Amino acid sequence: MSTSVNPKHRTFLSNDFNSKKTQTWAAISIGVVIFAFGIPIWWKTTEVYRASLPFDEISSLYEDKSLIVKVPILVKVPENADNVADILTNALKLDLNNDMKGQIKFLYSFDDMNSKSNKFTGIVIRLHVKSTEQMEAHVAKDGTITCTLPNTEKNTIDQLSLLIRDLIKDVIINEALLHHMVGNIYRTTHEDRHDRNLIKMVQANPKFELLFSLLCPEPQVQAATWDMEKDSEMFLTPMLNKLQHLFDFHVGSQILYYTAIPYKPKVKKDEQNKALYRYLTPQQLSLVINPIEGRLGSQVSSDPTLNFVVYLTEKKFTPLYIKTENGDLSKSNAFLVPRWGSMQFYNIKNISESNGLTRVDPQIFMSAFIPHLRILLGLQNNPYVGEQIIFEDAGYENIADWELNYLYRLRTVEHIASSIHTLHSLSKLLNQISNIVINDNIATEVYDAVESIIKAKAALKNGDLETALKYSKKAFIASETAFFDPTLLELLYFPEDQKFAIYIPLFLPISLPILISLRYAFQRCRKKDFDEEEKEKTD
Amino acid sequence: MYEICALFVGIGLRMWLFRMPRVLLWISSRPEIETPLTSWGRLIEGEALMRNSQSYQNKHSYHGSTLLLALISYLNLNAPSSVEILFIASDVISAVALYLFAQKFLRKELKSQKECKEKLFKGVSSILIKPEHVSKVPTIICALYMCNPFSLATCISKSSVTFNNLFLALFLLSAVQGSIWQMAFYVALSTYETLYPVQLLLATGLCAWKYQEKPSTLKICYLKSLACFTFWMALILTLSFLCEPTTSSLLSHYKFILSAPDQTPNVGVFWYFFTEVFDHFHTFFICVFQINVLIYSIPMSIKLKSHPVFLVFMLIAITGIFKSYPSVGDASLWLCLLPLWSHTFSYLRYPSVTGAMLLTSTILCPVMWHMWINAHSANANFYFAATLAYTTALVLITTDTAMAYLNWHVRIREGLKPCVAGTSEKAVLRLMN
Repeated sequence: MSTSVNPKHRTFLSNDFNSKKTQTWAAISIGVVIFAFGIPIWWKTTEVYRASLPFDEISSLYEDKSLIVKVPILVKVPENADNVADILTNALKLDLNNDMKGQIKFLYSFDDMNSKSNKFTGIVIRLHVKSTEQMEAHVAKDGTITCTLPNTEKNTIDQLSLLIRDLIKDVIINEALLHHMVGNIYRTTHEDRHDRNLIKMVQANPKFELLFSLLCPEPQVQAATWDMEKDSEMFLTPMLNKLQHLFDFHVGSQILYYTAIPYKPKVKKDEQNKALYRYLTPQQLSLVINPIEGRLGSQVSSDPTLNFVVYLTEKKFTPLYIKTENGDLSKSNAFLVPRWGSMQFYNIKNISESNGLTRVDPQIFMSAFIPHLRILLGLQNNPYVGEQIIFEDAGYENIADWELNYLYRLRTVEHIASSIHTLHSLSKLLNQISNIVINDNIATEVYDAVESIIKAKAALKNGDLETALKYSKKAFIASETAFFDPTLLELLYFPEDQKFAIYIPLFLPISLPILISLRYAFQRCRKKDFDEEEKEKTD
Repeated sequence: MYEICALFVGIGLRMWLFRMPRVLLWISSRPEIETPLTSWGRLIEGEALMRNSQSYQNKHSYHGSTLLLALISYLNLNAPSSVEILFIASDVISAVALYLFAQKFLRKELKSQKECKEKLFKGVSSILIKPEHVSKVPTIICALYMCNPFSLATCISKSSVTFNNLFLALFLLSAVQGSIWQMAFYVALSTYETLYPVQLLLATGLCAWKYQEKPSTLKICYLKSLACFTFWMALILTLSFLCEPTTSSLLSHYKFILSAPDQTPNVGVFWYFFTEVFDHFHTFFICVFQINVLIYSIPMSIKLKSHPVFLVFMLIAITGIFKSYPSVGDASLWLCLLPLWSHTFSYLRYPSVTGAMLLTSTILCPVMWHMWINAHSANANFYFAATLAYTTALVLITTDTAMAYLNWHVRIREGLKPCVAGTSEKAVLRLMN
């Protein structure tokens, strides 16, 4: 360029847009932007937020599934027979603590009541010596076992110890049921299918809805009504109040008209008074619930519902009875549907005298439903251990204190096992799918659950049932909330292969020119080296 | 003389169209002309909200700048008919500014060409800039700007793109004069309105370096332009803060431009993609799209260091195509500037294809919209295809023009045809490499 050209006009002629230096700088600037801005932005904006969870603790809880349930036993004897107490204690120790297999270890401790918690939730055994033929044991409402012995000899005491062992293991504690339930939850055993009590029992839930339905299939012929509020107040409320720490019950009632069951009862003639009656066999009973269940509205509440149905038998079928498996007529005229509820056929007597609207007698249906409700909750009605053991009636509350402790223990173990299992499944899921977003509220729930499980286990080990129930319920609710949280089920997690489908349509066409120009730059670089080598050779 | 005719024809057309309410109604409902950022309806809604409550920055209404709202609401209150006059006047000023700019620029180019005549290759005189370019091209540009349908529609719909075009035209005029203060002022105004013209700062330094009266180094030019821009920007932001004393009103405007939350269809590429992207990747792709607008500025300013006016042209074109809420008004500005490079038109590779594509896609867009929204016999894909064809046509025009320009600059040094005899040289030009 000559100096006569004005420096201002020099730019008109400069070809620097095609020079290597410019092109290199332009390419470098794009590269810098992509690597300095693009990659960090990509990394930061597509990261998956995962709050930290205590995976180690969950897996250690799952590995060590054993539970220790402490049951304190207190033996009381009349004043001058202390050695009898010792003999009985030793015998009981031998008999009760002999099989320690299974995941639940029942620790029957005979220490003195030094752990003075709020309530003594153990077993009190009182001894009396009387001149009777054989020994008797009487289980009072509050759980005290009062045993009457003819004498204080050793084999009598051994026999008594065996009797008490059966009583405790099968009824008061019911070890077998607890083992089966835990095995069922952890899927380790299949014996649960043969445990009839376990099948009938509803699974744990903090809240239940009790729905009482009165079905009048032909209201034009005979209609009935009930005052369920008053009846439930009188019969149910004491029981439900006693259970308030365990479950939260909500009672509802309804009357349904024109809801009929399409059944054909069989006819039989009664030998005594030559009157005709109808009956349903157990096989027919299994077909009765299905036609009417849709109309019951049991899905209105989001809590599990236990349905109790009173069915006013039609005029043409009255009286209708239920035949049991061994051929007798059922006394309560009601049948239990496991985990669903119960149903009773109500026969109106003196139909011709009724003027249309009868009031259903609460004694009749409540006397059927309350035992069924007890079964559904997990209790046993009229347990039979031997003819020497008598159980005291539970009274107006319908649940004895020892039965309440039994339920506490049962549900506590169930809550703990179920929440450990839920947490384990959750941690397995979250470990497998590494892309699921874990929000903070889920992390809080999981931490709460783990803490509560540990506290509940410790309380069970001490024999403190109420604390154990409280913490186990908290753990159960927290683990269920964490597991069923809706954010874990949404499409917030991205499988790795789908990420390609997201990036490729945009970035592949853009990257093609970049890759081609990189290739040219590389070629030019190599050509430059080649030229320099040639130059060196010729020099 | 012809330019005065063109001006009056343009003014007449605008005033006539302002009197036709059905045309106004139809145009103001067209998504190609009106965007959520610039529409007049939203401005009126924002003004009503401001009168009735303190803040007007509502999620679904006005998203423009505060000063514009203040100005228009003041005018609306005192003299409603002056709003139309304001829009027509801004169009007229833009056209005049473009005329003066084209004249000055072509004169300077011709002068540079004459000065360097000895350095040019023999026999290239057929493609050089001629004096009739200097006399005819500005008139053509002025007439194009006043009478083309895109800018007519933009003015009639009273969208704020008119003011943006005004600021850019004044920026171009001050660029060839080389005065940094004015350039920075117009860049600041334009950036205040829509964020993207901040890239023009790169070109400001280069224009000042080339066209200033007293020569100085590039670094000093850049520093000066940055300082002036900061000063003007601070002044404008302070004024805006005085009008509406909350910081959220300042930032929500830019937040709207950058995060593009409103997916109303327009001629851009943002809306279709973000209606269907997964939430997990939403932020990432917003960043990608915004980087796409801005990434071309630095390599191009490196490559077009000595041709800053062409750089400004390219930046305006790319911004107008890829920004978050484009409209046809953004395209009208740089399409009118195409005759500036008419001396390079012989090196355009496919002008008829791109021209036809632009025309067809412009006509197809309202048709597809009608079929989608009114007739319910199409869906969003049809409309997006039409707007994508429009965008592609604009991109092809841009790249073709750039290629032709660079080709011309190579040819005037090396001759019309490539090297003869022996070597087969491939004239390969790549914009990025």
